[in-house]
Amino acid sequence: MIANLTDIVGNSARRESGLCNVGSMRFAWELARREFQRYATYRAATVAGLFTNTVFGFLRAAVLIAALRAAPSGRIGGYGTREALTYTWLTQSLLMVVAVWGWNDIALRVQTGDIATDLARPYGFLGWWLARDCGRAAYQMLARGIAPLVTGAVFYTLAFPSSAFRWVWFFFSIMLAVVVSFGLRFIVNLLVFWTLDWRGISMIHNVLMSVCSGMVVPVAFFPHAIASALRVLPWYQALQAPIDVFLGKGSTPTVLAVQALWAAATLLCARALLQIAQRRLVVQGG
Amino acid sequence: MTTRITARRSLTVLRHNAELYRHLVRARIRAQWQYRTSLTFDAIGSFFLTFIDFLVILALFQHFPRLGGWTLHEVAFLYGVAGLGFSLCDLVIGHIENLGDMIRLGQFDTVLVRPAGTLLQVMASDFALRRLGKALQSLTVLIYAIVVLDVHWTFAKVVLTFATIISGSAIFASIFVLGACVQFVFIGSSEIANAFTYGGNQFSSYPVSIYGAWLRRIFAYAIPLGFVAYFPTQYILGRTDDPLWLQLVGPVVAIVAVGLSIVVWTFSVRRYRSSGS
Amino acid sequence: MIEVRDLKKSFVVYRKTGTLRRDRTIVHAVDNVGFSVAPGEMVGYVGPNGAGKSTTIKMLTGILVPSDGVVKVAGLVPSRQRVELARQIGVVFGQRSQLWWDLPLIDSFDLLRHLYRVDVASHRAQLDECVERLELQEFLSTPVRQLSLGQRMRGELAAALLHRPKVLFLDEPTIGLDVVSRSKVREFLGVLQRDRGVTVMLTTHDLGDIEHLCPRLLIIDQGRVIYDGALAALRDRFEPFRTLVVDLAVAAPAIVVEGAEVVRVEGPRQWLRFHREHTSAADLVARVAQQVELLDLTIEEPGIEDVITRIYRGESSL
Repeated sequence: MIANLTDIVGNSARRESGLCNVGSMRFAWELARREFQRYATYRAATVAGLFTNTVFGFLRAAVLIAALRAAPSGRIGGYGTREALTYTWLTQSLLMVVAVWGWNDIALRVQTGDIATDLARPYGFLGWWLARDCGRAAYQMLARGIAPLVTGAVFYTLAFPSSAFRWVWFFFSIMLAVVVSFGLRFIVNLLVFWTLDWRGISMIHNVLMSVCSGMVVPVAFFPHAIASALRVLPWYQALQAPIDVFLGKGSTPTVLAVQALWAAATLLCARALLQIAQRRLVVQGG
Repeated sequence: MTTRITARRSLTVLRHNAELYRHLVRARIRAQWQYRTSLTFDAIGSFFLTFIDFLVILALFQHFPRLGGWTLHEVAFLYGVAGLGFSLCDLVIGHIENLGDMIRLGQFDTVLVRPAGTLLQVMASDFALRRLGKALQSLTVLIYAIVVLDVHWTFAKVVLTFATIISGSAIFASIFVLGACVQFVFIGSSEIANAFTYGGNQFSSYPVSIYGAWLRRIFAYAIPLGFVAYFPTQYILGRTDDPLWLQLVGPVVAIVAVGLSIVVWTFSVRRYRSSGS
Repeated sequence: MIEVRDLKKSFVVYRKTGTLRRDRTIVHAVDNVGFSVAPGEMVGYVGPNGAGKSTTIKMLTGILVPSDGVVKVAGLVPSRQRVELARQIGVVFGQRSQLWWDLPLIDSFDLLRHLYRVDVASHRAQLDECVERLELQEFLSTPVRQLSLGQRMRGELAAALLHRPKVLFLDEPTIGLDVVSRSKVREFLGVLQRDRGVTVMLTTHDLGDIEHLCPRLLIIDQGRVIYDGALAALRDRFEPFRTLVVDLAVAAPAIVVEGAEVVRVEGPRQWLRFHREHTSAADLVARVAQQVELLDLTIEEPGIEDVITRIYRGESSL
């Protein structure tokens, strides 16, 4: 049995590198599309979630408005009222897209043992999940990404980008954010191979994501040293980075570059971890 | 329903229900205790996860001394009281948000076939110990606030503090129940209630004075979340943002809210039994 | 004990036709059902899927409120006296559990004692009897989630009876059970009804259950009761043919004999179908024996399954 598993693992490792040829691109697109459609069937849950998102948008906006009014210069961390409101509604729009509150699909499959069949499939495991996540993110963009921003724009005055270019950079930034977020989630999920109490790790990830990505409070609101440190960490890339691009904060090329670096880094790290996990699977005989 | 029940009979009924609740909940606790390591990790994890909301308050207060006229420690007191009210309610009745699943799996039919009230049975169907994580976290913040604030404690204020936490729980419970009633009609809609339960907790953690007119009307008065922490806390901290009667009427509001939710629940069950599936 | 008259239950069903439009139809799940069950009777309630069986049972147990008609169980109106009725009835759902999943079986029994407010002595006595009859002793301390289906079903039966209900409703209790468990359950139910006088209403797809347990059968189809009577009479009425199977000494072509028709020939064995009212079995045997040399013979009765299947399919008119 171990001999067979080695074959399987060896084959899948070989196929991983094949993600970049044309045939695989078409396959990846199909995967993404299917995942998009799958999420589209949960219409009632989506509407309910959207409603809750929007209500929380109003609640958080009120807190930030009051905070800025209480601040001596009417600004905090370089944010004025319009920018703070834009930040609020953008976080509500993007939080599902980048899956801020985590995701345990892979960990579940490891715990049930289905992971063995997944790894035996004739295509790269990492690429497979990445393609599916892109489909999911695309759906969340459409279903839950646009409405909160529009709602915010209707009820408040937001700070929209002045140039069309900025919108383009914004969308690029979102895509990179999705990849970084995926990489982090993938790594966290794989850790279930090594730890029995995966839920603890998952919670740590949730905490880090919530605090360091700018989900609960703009990163710029933290003391200067902490904020600067957070900007070079991966969690910032998943949410605050696209928001900073939208608002024109910091040097956009730098933000995008750091995002891209982290996107590559997390994917490489994920792949390395996957190979270690596969080897461990072989050693244990499944 | 026009049956007249004498006071003694209703007291007996109450006693029986309380006993039944105790037995059912004890069974749930015993069932969870089998997985106590996982339970402990969950509770500790949620202790830290829920701390994030307070972290936001701390982060904001780095930039100004008062929010809506309230200092950090006063807001911490608000946060603690609101959080305790919410988490204790969540512990006792939070699982009612799964009513849609109960109905779908046929477990609600089992409830209807048993000789006890439907709401009591649903309440007694779980007692999620892991939610103690948030309760402990709120308590920690509250104790911190009490220690740091220079409150002029009187017997009345101590009583009011406890009464507020309990009536806060009751108000949240009524929101949970009303949110669940929606699921009799729209089975997949459990997340909508989140806007008012978890959203309600978020709302009541801050001074109501910071919110605009509409938010205040909806969340502080119509849904009486102002009475979960904001109004009573003014009395305890010796503030006079609002008139005295508002500060003290919280428990009455809670009773009305609970009564209303029970009535709506009864109607919802009756409607479900008539139109069923 | 159970009285049903002019019972109706209609549901409004919405179906999506296109992106925004909805089609509103009214489904008459139960359409004028009436029957009566005397105390201590055991009745089988049978029908194809979607016939209205579950809906009827739900109205009898208080889960659903009828659209129209009269329902009385143990003298109580289920829709209005749900809690009081609940004390008098026991319900077993074959497809879902009413026991506490994570706890030992014995804990479920104890919780039910509190739920139904049974005094300790009476509960103990009933429990001991059920444990003995259903052989629950070996897994009383096992958590319900670890029990096999057969064990769990026996546990559910015991649970439904601990408060000594007057009426027991069983919804597909033997579904998915292995042969041993099924026979244990049937035996238990038979004793229950005979010795204790518990009124039992059994909904089932398993016609073996009916044959073993129910002298009376109610067939429901498309919301209406299409048969209410004894099982034997059903057979007589709808499957009037019996079959005489003869083993000839020598294989021969199909026998031609008055009052019967050969429907199958396999070597020396032939199957002769005859109408039970027009021809008596004894006469037929005599006539056949006159024509050929017989080695052996048997008489086959139509299976109840065939009878009911034919009724479901509308091949037998009522």
